[in-house]
Amino acid sequence: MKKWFKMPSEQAFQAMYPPKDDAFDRAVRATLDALPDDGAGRKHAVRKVSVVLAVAMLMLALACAAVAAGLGVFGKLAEQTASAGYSELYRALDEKSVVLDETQNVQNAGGQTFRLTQAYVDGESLFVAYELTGMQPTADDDVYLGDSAYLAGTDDYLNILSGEETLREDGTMVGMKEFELPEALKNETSIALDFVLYRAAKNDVFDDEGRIQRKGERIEERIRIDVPLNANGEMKTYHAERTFSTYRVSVDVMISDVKIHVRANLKSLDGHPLGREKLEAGEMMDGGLYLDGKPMHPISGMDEGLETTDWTMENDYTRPEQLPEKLEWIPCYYTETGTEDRNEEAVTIWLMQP
Amino acid sequence: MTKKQYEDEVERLAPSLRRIAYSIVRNEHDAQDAVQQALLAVWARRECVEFARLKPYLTRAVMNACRDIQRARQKAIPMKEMPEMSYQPPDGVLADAVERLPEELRLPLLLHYMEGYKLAEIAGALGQSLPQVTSRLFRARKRLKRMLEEAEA
Repeated sequence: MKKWFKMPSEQAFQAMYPPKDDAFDRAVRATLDALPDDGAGRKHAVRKVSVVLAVAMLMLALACAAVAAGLGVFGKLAEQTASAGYSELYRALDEKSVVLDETQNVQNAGGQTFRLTQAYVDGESLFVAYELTGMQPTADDDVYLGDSAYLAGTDDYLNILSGEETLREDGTMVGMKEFELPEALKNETSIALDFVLYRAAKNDVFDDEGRIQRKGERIEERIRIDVPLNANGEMKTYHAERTFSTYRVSVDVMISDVKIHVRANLKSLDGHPLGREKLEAGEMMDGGLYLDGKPMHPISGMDEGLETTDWTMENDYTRPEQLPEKLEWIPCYYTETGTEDRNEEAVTIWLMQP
Repeated sequence: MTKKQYEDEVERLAPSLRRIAYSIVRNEHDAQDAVQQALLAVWARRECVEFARLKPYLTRAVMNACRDIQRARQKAIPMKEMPEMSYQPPDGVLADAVERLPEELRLPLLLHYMEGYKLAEIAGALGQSLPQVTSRLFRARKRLKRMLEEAEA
């Protein structure tokens, strides 16, 4: 299998900074000892909620629960996330993802049950949804799922691109993760991944001065699961470019069932730097996607080549259910008074014949 | 949040908070000051802090304290460039590459890969949205990869 770039380990990063120091530990202890006691704080304000309002809230909660009951984990996240773009994405993922077999349940030593519920591959990313039961916090344990997923039995891991999780009232954690799918894995039909459950168990120990302290030691437990990688949707690609007097722009668009990925590459033709951090009026600051004239909001993005003559902007958008006829990438310029979209410099791609 | 809960959590997070502070202020004395200031500030505002969100809240308080210290230093001795780190790390290549990342990319990278913070915790600590954090992490990773590969070549 082809190797890909591996991020340095946690220990390698930590070794960049000074090691543990007793003077620091003593200073922290002294600061904690100097804190005023619990009672010194202000009292919480008690809010009175009217009986009518309480009943209305209860009925609304029951109605929401009834709706949520028919949803998969992606669907439940769609109901809860504050981001409109992600909410649409999760809704689409809930509909299109592969539902994993119930036998993938894994009970770990601490009593939590981890279950990968859904998976979806759009050609570039692997999305997974999961549930972790028994996640009520206790005084002795702090349990959480790591953000990385390792290729089974190795230290190679998939880079995380996005993720979200939420603890429900019944102690079940529901969450999703989006991983970058390396080129070498794109033709596989499934991969075995190790998900890592961390437990920060706290122990009583004695320090040099005889004081009892509670220290957390992180223990990790790997949970191996076969994840289907069959690409669920067909990826369509489009390309268009335009040349102006001072720059050339080429736009590549990849549309999957759930996302629209836009890559705009700009080349300066007169040697002026692009994507400068400190802009002056009249300089291009960004570019945006418009679907049938409606501006879209990216859910993630990145830049390469800032302040050079070869600038690339990549952004992901949630794909609407119905594809538009016309897709435009329009540059946005910085002006004395704010910003200005220059429609005359739009790069247009027709997805359907007008 | 009780004092006992706060103490336990602080003891667990202290090494992490120290490294984060050091990555900003670049010397052990200021890093210690920043952590101590943050511990006092968060406890003073404990009635506003949900225990479940203490980790990002404390991290943010440490970063704010670091910036206060930097501002005070800047007023006393104006500096055009970042000061040299007082500690020489064993892997100079990695440390050099990380140091060359702008702070807006370096902090999410360190919180995630050095301290194991989850994306939502980074968003809370930096006061950013999840999409902002994921895109900064993505950019930081790409830049670090390029710098490490260049150094290897």
